[in-house]
Amino acid sequence: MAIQQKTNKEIFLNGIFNENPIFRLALSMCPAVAITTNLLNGILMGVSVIFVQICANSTIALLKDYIHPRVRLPIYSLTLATYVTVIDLILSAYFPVAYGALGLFIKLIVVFTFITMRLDVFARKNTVFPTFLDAMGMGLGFLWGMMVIGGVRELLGSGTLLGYDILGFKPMLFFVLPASGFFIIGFMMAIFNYTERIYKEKQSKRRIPA
Amino acid sequence: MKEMIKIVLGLCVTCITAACIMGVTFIFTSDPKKKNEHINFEKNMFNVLGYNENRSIPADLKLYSIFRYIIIQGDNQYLGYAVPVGEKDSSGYDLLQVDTNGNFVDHKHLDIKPEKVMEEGDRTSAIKAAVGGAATVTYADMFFVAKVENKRSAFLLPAETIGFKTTIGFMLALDPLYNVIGVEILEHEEDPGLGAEIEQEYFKNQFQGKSFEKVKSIVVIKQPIPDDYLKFLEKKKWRQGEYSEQEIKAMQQKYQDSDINAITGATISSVALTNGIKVAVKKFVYRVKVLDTIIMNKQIAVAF
Amino acid sequence: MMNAQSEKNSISNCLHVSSAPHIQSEVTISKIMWTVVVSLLPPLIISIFIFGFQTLIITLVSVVSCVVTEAVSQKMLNRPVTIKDGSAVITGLLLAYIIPPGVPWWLPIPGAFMAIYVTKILMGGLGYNIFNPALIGRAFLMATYPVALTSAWLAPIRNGSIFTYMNANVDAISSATPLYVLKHYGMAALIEKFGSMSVIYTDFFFGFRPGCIGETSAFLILLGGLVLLYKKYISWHIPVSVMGSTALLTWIFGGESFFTGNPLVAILSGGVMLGAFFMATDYVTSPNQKIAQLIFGIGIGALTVLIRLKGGYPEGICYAILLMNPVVPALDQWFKAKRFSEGATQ
Repeated sequence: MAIQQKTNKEIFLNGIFNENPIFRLALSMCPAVAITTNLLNGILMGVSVIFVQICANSTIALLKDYIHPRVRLPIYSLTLATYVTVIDLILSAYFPVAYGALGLFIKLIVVFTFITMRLDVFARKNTVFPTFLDAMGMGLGFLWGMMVIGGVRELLGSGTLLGYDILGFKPMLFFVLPASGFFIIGFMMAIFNYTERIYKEKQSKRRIPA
Repeated sequence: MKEMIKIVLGLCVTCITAACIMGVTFIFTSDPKKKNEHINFEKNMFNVLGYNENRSIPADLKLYSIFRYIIIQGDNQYLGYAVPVGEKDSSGYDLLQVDTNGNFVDHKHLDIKPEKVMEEGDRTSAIKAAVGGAATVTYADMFFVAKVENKRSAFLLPAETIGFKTTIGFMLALDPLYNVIGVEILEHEEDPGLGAEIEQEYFKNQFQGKSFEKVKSIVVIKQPIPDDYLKFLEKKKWRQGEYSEQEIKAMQQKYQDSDINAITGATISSVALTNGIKVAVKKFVYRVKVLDTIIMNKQIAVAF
Repeated sequence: MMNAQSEKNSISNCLHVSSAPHIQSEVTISKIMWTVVVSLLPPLIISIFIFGFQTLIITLVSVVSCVVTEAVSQKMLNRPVTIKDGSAVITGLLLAYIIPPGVPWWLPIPGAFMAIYVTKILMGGLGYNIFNPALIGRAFLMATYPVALTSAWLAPIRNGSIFTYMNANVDAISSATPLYVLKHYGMAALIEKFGSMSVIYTDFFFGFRPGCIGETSAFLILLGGLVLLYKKYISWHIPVSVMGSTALLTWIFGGESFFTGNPLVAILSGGVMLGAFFMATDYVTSPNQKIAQLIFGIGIGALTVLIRLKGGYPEGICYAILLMNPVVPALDQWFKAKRFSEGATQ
């Protein structure tokens, strides 16, 4: 299989750039636009997703021989639901401020398409270590996507970053509204496509003399 | 058949494991979670009472909750007040039944433990049991009385009003003479940048220190807030010791009788909240006066 | 299909608009566009006398930023630069016309970026945009700077001193628009504010009322619209159906009881006239066939009245046109002209 020929580094970087869940796969857009009104929300959501992704991926990779293929989807859901409930309870008990902002969306992690997708596409077919790397990469890809969206929206919408006053005024209130999330995602996708094109052009130029 | 048993067993094991993990987490987190919710609720109340980092909460501050019910018996409509009775730590709750003209009707003891009283279901069934018969009992609202050094220091009343889009929920704090201590916006869905500014300090703090007489006739004016007042209102931006006690008093005195300055571009929301506060205060004062008269006449040993 | 054809033509900037039979073949896109620009100028001139000199500055900033955005973005995307066809100038003018006169001078710049770059260029250029660029620009400004867009109204100047508002603090001089007064205080308050009913009609007709920069003078907009009608650049269907349905529905539902609303005030106040003649008739974002145009216009009128009477905002023409814009392809599909499409569909 092609996927097994990848080096560990490639597996790790895959989720961050090539298959970035938000900007390349356009999955899990709902949280990406709904809760990213500020940088802190983005970071907290990203970190929660990393936690759930790593735990669920590793669990499935460990138990893949014992999971009957016919019922693998219910088992994925159960695994995800367990970890999400755990993190939901922990957040509500020890980080009440963050929980106030994220409350509803933490529970929604259960149905994040890209997490389930990683379980089925990658964890099911690989050993624990590559799966861990893949989960880490995917989670970090999601985290930095959320950070970019949240950061731009907080800076332009409320003139602050992580709650600290940076600009001293509110440049564009539009960025507080959910619609601006799509706006930023659109521009980020354009940037990704542009850099990919440039990169490929460079590579093909390099190959010609060789 | 063998495969089916395998599947069933597999799923069972997964479910049980998942349930165990969730259960253990729940046991460990349920106490801090409840504590958090309680702290959060109290924090809102203390905020609106004006206690913050600079002004610490008195050690003997006690909060008592009073619930108002509408009781319909046959063709008659009554108001039922569930009030805490007994000395110091309220030992129980009593029900005072009042008719619509404010005359005392009945006084009954409620069979409910003080720590259960915040649960709406338990409370309503206790009242139903006390009233008896085929009465309809509906919960209307509640308020709190804060006591410091065994004297009433404030009333706290959650209320809501119709805003520009949906309801605005807010909490009001009044002192024993019904002057406004503070206003806190609990929930709203006004437009960001326009109506949502009602939760900003420069708007909601304008209500602080307004006397009951002033609130009864308060209106919204479309004028910008004077610069010195604006600086005074934004308390979160104060530096350490920005205003001395006297200066604070002087500023409050200066703008004591001014009306509410509307938010630019959101006059409707400003008017809605102002009217909501006006109506809530007026109704509350009427009710609490009725209640106090009855308690005094009937010599009921209420806690508050 | 005809739409697609005209879209392709418009890119090359020198071919015919083939969409409707009444347009002569030697008429080019840029000739139509520049005529529209000229017919849009009278409201600008009168607005300088009504709201002061800063309206000219706002309009110039808007037009220049639209043209610059178009030129820069087309250069960057390696597309032919089409600023000479005048469509960016029209967008700039219309964008300025539908914002209040008391806004800061730089306000149209983000609006122009949104209107030209996002709404038009990113969609593929002139002919490919689904929404009217100027209206998207305004909707964006409304979401971004709501305070300026809902409160920077100025009372008309009547003594001719056009520099009154140049350095004034907008908070202190803002004045409610007729539609705002009507929505929140009722007809009696409006009459009280302006004097009498006849004063309302004459003032509103010539433009002496608070409102957006280019929307106040019904007379001059009508003049510009009639020029376009005479030249046959637009047909009567859309303007008449927009204004007619607005008037009719306001008459039925606008008053305290049925059939007591004032239809004339409904048309003369707010941006219905400007929208009906200059924005709803935009070639790219309106249907080609006459029945479809009538339905399109009635839809706009109905939505406008709905937003005015039941919505949160006092004026609804901007959002009404934007909501009807995406219906246009469906309308074009449903009401194909038989004699043209019979051959073309094969």
